[in-house]
Amino acid sequence: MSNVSLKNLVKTYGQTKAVDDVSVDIEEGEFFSLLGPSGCGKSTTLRMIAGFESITSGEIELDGQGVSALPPEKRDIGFVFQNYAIFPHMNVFENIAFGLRLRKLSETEIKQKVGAALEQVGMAGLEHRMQREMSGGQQQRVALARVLVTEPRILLLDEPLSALDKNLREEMKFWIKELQANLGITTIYVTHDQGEALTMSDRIAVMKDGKIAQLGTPREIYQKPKDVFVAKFIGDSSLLEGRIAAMADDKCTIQIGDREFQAAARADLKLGDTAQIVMRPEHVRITTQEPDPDWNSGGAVVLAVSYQGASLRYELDFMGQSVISESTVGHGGPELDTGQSVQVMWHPAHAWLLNTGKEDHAG
Amino acid sequence: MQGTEESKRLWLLAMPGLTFFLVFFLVPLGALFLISFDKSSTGIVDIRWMFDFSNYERFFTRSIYYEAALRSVGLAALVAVIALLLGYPLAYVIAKTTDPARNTFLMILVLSAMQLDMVIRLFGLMVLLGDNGLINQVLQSAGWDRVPLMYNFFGVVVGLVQFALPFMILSLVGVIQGINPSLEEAARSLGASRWRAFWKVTVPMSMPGILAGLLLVFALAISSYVVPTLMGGWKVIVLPIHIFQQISELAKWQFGASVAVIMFLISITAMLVYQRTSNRLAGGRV
Repeated sequence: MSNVSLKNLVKTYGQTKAVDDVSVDIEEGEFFSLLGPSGCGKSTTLRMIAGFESITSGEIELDGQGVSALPPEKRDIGFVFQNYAIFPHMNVFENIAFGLRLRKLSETEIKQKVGAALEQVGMAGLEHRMQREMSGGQQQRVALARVLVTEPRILLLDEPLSALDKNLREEMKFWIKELQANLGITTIYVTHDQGEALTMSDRIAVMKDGKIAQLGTPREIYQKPKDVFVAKFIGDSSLLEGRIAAMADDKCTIQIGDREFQAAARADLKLGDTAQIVMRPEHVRITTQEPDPDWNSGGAVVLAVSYQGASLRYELDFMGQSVISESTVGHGGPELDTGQSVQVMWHPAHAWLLNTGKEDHAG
Repeated sequence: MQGTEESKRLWLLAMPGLTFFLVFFLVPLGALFLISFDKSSTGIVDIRWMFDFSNYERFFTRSIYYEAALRSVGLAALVAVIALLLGYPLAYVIAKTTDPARNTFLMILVLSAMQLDMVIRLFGLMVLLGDNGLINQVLQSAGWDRVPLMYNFFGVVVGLVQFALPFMILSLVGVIQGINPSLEEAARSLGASRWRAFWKVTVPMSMPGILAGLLLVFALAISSYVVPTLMGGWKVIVLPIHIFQQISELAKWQFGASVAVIMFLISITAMLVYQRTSNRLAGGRV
């Protein structure tokens, strides 16, 4: 087990900064995700940690020691590729034995270790399979076994599930997380899928344009997004822009048009700042009756209804802005039609504020 | 009956090429084959259906002929190996370079080496390698002795490698480009040095291109007439020279045909070796 420290990491290609001053400390045994849209620098960061890409400036430390001068083979890392990178000219056994042979282990030791690794990934008995005879999921298991058998200090995963179909992806998600937790191996996971990152990670760094937009636990990132980009990238959200009209202790009042709404206060907000209310669809309720006076509420018109199996999703026009509400089917809520006038309501505790008065209008 | 409809359509597509192949390759080859068994009679080209093995007997009992066969095989194999050793690194650079300008430049260099007729290219080579050629002039002005660079085995090898190298490179570039770069990276991260990753992953993965290139160069080199005559100055006698002399100068069509058939069989053997080897490699891959 090892810790990883990225210190002011920069990677430039010509004029473009692919990674722009990224600093983060990843703890021993942590499952850490780099999450972001394509081109945000997450894969480049991972490839720099592996040694596949050179560093323009900054430093990478493993257990407190700088490794940027070391070639990939000296870093003692395990790297799992999006396309699995199973050697097509070797069978499963030889693939897994590859790293062990380089470490000059005896043939008996290799046999025993490869056997154990196959057992671990649920592929026992398939040592003679070739790459072309395996499904994507099986290849990914072999790729993991091949890496884990060398007992690397850290495990780097580059979008390992994105080439799999949806059901298998769900299954592998939990399987990888469980394997990682059992081994306690420090893991850095690159993905553009917020669902994967939220389910698997201890902490997430959301990246945008080569920078870390927000660093935190999945809950922090989902519930308290730092800016519009993070709010929109992680999960669905509705944003309402207004101005801070009053502040009191832990509460503040935000004015949108001639209406006022309550929200939880944030230390960095002052009277008169512009701010956006972020609401998650599951926190926006719809009613045809009189709304609860303690809640924020207002009249809205249903624009669209979509049935999603377990839930119903409504798109509403609220004061000229789009608001999304999602409710579980069968919880007694009203079934609504397009064009219908309703009341939307949300609790002040579920109205997270984004400060857009001072910061740039990202997103 | 959709299957037969479909296969009919495929046959129709193959028809023009197949017809050409049949009329202008298989028929002449068959005629050559038949003539090679005809009793040797100077000046006669027709098939006379007087078959025996006298031409082949002559070939395998006279050292001038069977030694030429051995020389041809040795020469072609040597040229194939040299072309591989020179061609692989260059093909690797072409395949891996991400700079489009450099890639285009190298590709034009390789392809332009195939553009002019071989005879013209060889005349250019003579200017360089001849007894009073550029290289020898430089050597002499430096106070060294002249070195015979052509009209010998060396000259033939240089000429054939020049001729065959682009074919080797073209066979390799596509295959090397097709190798997933993450395979080499995977090997590196598992602890292999750059050199080891190259030998354990890139080279085995290039085998289809290496084998195809070797076969192509071997076939081109063994059947070349122009290069051994011009660069060898009639001192390096290979099978095509015998074939040409027998047919064109001595009008012994029957014996010339039998030498041609033997050369063809050598090429076919090389092709079978290629097939077997690549099947065995693919067998390990499938």
